Amino acid sequence: MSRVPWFVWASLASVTCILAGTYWDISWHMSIGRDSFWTPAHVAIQIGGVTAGVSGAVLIFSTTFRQAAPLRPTSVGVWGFRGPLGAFLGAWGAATMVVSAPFDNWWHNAYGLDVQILSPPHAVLTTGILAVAFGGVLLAISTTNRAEGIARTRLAWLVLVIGGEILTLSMIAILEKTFRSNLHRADAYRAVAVGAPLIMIAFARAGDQRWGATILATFYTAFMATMVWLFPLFPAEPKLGPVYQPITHFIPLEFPLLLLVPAIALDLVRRLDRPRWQLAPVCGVVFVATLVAAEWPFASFMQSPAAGNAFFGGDYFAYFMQPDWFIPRHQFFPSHDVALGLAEAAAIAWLSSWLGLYVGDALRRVKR
Amino acid sequence: MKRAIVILLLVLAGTAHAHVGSPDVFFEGDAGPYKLFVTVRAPQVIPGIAEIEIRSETPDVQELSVVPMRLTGPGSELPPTPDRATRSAADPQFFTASLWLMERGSLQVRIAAFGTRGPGTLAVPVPAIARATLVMPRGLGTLLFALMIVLALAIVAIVIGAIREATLEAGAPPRPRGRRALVIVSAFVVAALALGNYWWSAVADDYAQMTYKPWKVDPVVHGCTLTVPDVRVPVLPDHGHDMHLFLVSSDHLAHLHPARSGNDFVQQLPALPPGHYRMYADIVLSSGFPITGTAELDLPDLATCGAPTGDDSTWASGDAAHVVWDRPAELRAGASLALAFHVEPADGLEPYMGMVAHVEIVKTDGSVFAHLHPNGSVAMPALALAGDMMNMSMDPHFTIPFGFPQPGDYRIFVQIKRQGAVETAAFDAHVDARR
Repeated sequence: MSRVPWFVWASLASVTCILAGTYWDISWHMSIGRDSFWTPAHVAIQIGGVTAGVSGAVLIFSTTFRQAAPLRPTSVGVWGFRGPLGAFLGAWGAATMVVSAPFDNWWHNAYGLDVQILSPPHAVLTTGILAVAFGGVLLAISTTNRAEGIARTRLAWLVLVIGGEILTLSMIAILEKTFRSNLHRADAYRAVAVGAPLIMIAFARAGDQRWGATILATFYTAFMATMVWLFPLFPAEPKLGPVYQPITHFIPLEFPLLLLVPAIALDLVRRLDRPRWQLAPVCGVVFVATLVAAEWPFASFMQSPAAGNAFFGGDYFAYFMQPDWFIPRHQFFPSHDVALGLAEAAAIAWLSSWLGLYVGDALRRVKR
Repeated sequence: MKRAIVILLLVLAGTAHAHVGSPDVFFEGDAGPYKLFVTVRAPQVIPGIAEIEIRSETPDVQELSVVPMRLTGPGSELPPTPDRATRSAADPQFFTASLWLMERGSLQVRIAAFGTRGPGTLAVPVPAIARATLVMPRGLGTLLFALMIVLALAIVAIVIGAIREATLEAGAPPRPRGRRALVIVSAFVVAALALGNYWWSAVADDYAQMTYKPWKVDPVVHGCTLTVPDVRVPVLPDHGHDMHLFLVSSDHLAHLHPARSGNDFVQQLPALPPGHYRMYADIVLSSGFPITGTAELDLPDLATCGAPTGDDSTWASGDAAHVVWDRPAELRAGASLALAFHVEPADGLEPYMGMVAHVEIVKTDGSVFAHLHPNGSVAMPALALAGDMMNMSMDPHFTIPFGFPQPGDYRIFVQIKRQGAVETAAFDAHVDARR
């Protein structure tokens, strides 16, 4: 097999649509506020889900009902159906995304329109999205593990791109915890420690890429920074009130965290030839230590007038940001027990790193 | 002290509400040259959608638009993109709009009117508060539960399939089914669902904390003195009084104005017969958010307490007043009404606390109480904060904007001042169910 199969491209397209749609949707809520099922951002997410669902279904049905299907020897069985593992997971994720819609709709009626990223129905949606994304990864990585030569190289890069997209999605999911005013509290670092080490180490390890974590963090940094520069070029005004900030254009999400620093550190630490249980604590501590060392002073810079420009976006605020809140006043939230909290973050990163190493090793063995 | 803190928290959290059992706003005012009757049907949840109904008195209004804003301070200056109200095809003087109220607290709906006589604006204060949580319909609940079970079983099957076959070379036979893997994977899925359920319950509890709860007052009566204790919030004077307090029984009414004394409000009670009374205490917070405290109390014989003084007034069944209600043919719950009254004869009519009339509407079971004026149900200090003109007209023919929230039996008290004395007229009304 020398070409990249269609379903890997479909996986990439699916995750890309979901990432773009998710970013756009949150920016929409910060800038315009009012939405409907058919906003462009929602449609992008829906296309991502439908792409994963349809390609998963096609793979499952063609593999199940065609004896000569090329993927049949490399398929797994679920409830009598046969297909690649990633196809099952992608289809499951798409179905979960669909189920979240009526749940979310009822939630808005029962508790009011949620203005937060993480609510129970959004968690169901996020679970679906993660399954779609991880299904795409499995499709790509199982194909990579069976491929050789140039196709393997190209597939490995595609896996890293999907990994970068998943890392970015995971960072967007914790945006409320990592907003600039929260970056002098341990809370933010605990939140980052949950997903980022796992994802970066797993993809780097699975692809056997020396600079895999760095490549993922570079994707995240480039994506988030580009959006900070791009989104304000498009006009927008609030359609909900009260309005506390004058808005004339789309408000981007935050400037990226300096994840590149711990990513480089992780790639260096990973070179130590040690078993997982020894490597994981080193990765965890190094991740948090380097992230804090870089991000803490950078957060101070982001709160300074020097960041109030189109490059860093330090003066972009959502329409609902009340002027006496900490964020528009460029102040940090009050903080307590930082040392203890950062120690907890390191412990979380330790566990997350171990899981990353474990998942990475498991992904290397996935052939179906 | 504990009670004071509870009341303070309740008030600051905005969990109480003006009026009782009557959450909608009824308001009549002038948008420049156009007289508008505005009804704001409050949403059950916040953020939620308020339904706005606007009737123009004249046919020359061509376009109406509405925006939600804070009543005062930040958020009261930058309007979002306005929503254009839809003109009724059957009744061109009737407009409707749906408007998102995104925050709790003291808001306003600002209306921009445009017509043949040029533009005009009107601000309608709206106290926004979540009142309830909807229960999931049984059908939707069953469907979602069934889908959850299917998805849970499916993910277990997918993971088991992965364990058995995902790492095998092409064509290799699957590994045997392992009970241990099934148990572990199932336990993970069940734990995830349990965690989700716990999270949902926590969110629902938080939300329940923020929904409307009546402000239960614990009044104390000593001799002729009534004390409303522990009201530790700054209030705005309404018609010159920090609190309007109403004592209502089946055949008596007292409209009183307790004065602040430290953290308490204190009132010298007028002569009242002993009996069971419902108490309603209206205050307006400095944000313009109105709150009504309620209590039930048994008063001893207060025959020796003397006559009401100042703006205080009492009514007893059988008292005569020179007020006529131009009663409509039918009264229906939910309908916006301009309750029309006139004073007859009108000679000697004077302002009573700055207005031609004050109206209190009480449902006989006590579940609805509203304190109204010719402007409607809006508290006057909120109106002042919104920058609107109060209706100070002394025309003896006047209307009171209101809508009965529930069917049932009501008593309408209309209070005027004539020839130096406050007169109270009481009208009983039966309100039919919504069509």
